[in-house]
Amino acid sequence: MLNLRITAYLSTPLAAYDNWSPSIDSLLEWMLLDKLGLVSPNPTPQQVEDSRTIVAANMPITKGDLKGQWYWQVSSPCYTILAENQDRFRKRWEPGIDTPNPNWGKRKAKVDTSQGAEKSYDLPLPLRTIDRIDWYAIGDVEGVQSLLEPCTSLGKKRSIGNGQISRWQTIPIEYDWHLWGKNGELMRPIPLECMPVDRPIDFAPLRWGWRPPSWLHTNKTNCAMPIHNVRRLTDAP
Amino acid sequence: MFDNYNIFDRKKTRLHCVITTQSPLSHIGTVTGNVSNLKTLERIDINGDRRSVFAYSGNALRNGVIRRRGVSKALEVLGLEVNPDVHHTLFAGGRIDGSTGSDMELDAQIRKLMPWLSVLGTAKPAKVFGTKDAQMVQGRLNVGSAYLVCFESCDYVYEQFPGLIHPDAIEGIQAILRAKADLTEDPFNVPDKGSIAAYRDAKQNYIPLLRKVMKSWTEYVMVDQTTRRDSTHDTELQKFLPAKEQKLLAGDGEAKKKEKSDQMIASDRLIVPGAKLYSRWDVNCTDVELGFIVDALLAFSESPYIAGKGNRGNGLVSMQFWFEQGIDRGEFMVLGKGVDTLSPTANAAHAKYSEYLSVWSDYLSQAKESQELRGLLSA
Repeated sequence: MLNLRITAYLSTPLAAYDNWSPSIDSLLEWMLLDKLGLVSPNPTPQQVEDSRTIVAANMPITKGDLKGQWYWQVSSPCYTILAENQDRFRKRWEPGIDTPNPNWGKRKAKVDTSQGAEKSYDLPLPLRTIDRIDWYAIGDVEGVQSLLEPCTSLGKKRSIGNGQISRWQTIPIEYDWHLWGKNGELMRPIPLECMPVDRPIDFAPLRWGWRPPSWLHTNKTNCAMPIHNVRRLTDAP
Repeated sequence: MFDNYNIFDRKKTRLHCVITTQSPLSHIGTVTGNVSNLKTLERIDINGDRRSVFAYSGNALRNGVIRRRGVSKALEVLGLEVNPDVHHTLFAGGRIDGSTGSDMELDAQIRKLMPWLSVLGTAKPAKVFGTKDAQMVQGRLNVGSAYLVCFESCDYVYEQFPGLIHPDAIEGIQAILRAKADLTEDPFNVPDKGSIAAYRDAKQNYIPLLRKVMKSWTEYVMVDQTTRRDSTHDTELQKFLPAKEQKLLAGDGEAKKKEKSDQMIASDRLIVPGAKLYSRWDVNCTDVELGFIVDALLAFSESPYIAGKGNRGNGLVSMQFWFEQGIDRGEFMVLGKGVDTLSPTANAAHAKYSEYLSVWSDYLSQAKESQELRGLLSA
């Protein structure tokens, strides 16, 4: 296993609500399960537990240990935001206009798209224009690259063209920057109790799922979050 | 039924969609007063500047072209009518309205029996398809926004599909992108002076030429002003009003209370005919599902209008698709130019989908009381 830099080159803006997504360990687990035909859209904690053995056996990333707690040795995404703006996405339902009429049955043939179950929506979508996203990891170059190749986009609302990837690149690098960066900065979320106390480190405290899947309540804990992984052009001195 | 159909036997295909406008194109983003503006997306252009550029949204292509046309046609061929909840799930993408389930058997059954939902995905509401929990069905098709091919989008289009770029612009785009890549190769270190100088030189040498040959997106915009007169002011049409109203308008009797006129004037910004737009589609699906996409596009080509104001003839387009499947690549299909042309790859996928639909039809006709199928569709 080598020190790696994994890079996604983006060609359209990324829809993201926070600075720590997309996480590469979650993506790799998803791609692995998808490849094996085991992916579930909303798995139960038991299904996640059942898939642990097969994920552990095939994941091309090394497991790390922080005070007895395992994690995948990958950093948070590192990128520079070149521009931020807001797009909108909409949903409408007009049965019988540009689609066939439904069989209304006993229901009155009336649609209320202003409220209720069939409400239309027009929602804001924050977009970040980014050239590339880098993650630092310890793992197997070919294993990572081959799992990521089929992934064509990242972030929210991928189905309508956001976060398109033009190419993936996985290369070995000299240094291990998955946990601590070039200047000693925190590079990924870790439980607060795992933070070193021998030196001052910038971080933001947040309750966060630090292992995939991040939505699983057993993976959530009070974390120290990195704050230097996402930069804005305006941050430059 | 469909025991031999493996929903996991998927191929990754990239479709490059080139849209050529045959009539003015209206796709409204924001409206200011009585002027409707075109939808734009922001991006960083090849010069490193933040710019807006016209884009026809991926959402409109995915749902307007593929979902509505394709699913309508499938239901029509199968002669199925569905209840409003299923209709909403098929055509509007459904909703999550209760506790979310993770029934993989149901997911597999939906993908096996409804390739259109497997391709497009949906949020299956509770009680639809015969199960009590709501459940997400993830789609297998990503449709990118269609960017107008112009100066502001030239680096994006070049990286995806260089054949669309003006020949005189290619050398310049290559030089600038190469210099830029050298600059950002190691984001943790300051680029060396040589790389910075090379990037500056490339921009200085080629940006003026690129601006000249690629044109800004605003040069593809035209304005159409429309008026609607108040019909009660038309003396020829006044005779259809009630006699009392006619008298009032003629000034007889008591004075007519002043009312707001129905006369209207509005301006639309439109993309000129002949412009080209590029959209990247990524799909990871079975042959049958790819065939469904082809079928939906063929249904679309029967009336190839996109976007708004079709009543005035706006939005007539032709589309050309190219495909990449591993090392295989080539033309995929051409639509909206009179006769649709399908490549052998598109034809083979379409044949598989047609065969699938015919098995489906036979099954429906032989098992009219099939609880499995009708239960799933609530048909």
